[in-house]
Amino acid sequence: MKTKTAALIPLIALIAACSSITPGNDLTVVNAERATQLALDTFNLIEKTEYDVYPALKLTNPTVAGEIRTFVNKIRTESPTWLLSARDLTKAYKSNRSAANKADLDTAVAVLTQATAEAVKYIALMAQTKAH
Amino acid sequence: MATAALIALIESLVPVIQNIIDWINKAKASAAQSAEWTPEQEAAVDAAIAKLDLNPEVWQKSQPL
Repeated sequence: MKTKTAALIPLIALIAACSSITPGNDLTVVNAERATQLALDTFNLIEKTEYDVYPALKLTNPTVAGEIRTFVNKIRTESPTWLLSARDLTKAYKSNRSAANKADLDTAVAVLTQATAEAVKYIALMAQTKAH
Repeated sequence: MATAALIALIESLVPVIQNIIDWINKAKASAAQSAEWTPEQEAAVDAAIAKLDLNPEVWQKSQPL
């Protein structure tokens, strides 16, 4: 499972950074905004998917259901802080594009990217388990 | 599997698949973003983040996809 997540992280990072940007815009800011939007949409998707799937999943595969519920609870309680941190650091970087602010923003984006990759892995797992 | 049970299973998958399709379209839109957000876009995202609720029922039922 960890291997699958590790494989997804570059993919998610690629989604968040795969297209070129309009001249005059800052790639660091655009990538941070892409990662923030993707994380927000993905966290919403996993919350809704788990809500739809959990009753059936608990009956058919309680171990997987428990593992997914633990992760979804972590997203529910911690992701608002992660997202707010990314937004605050994006704004801080836009007002002062220093190397230190860029490093802080890159760290916040990495946290979002890791959590997004893990969420995608669990969404795929739920879809597969539900279909069987 | 009886036809009725099969239909029920497939029907139960529809909202999950639809949500995933919506997510794919949003992921494509995020990937295609080529400029920094406008102030309006920033405000919309900040408002969405501010609305996130730690209560599972509230989040799972009310957050817009």
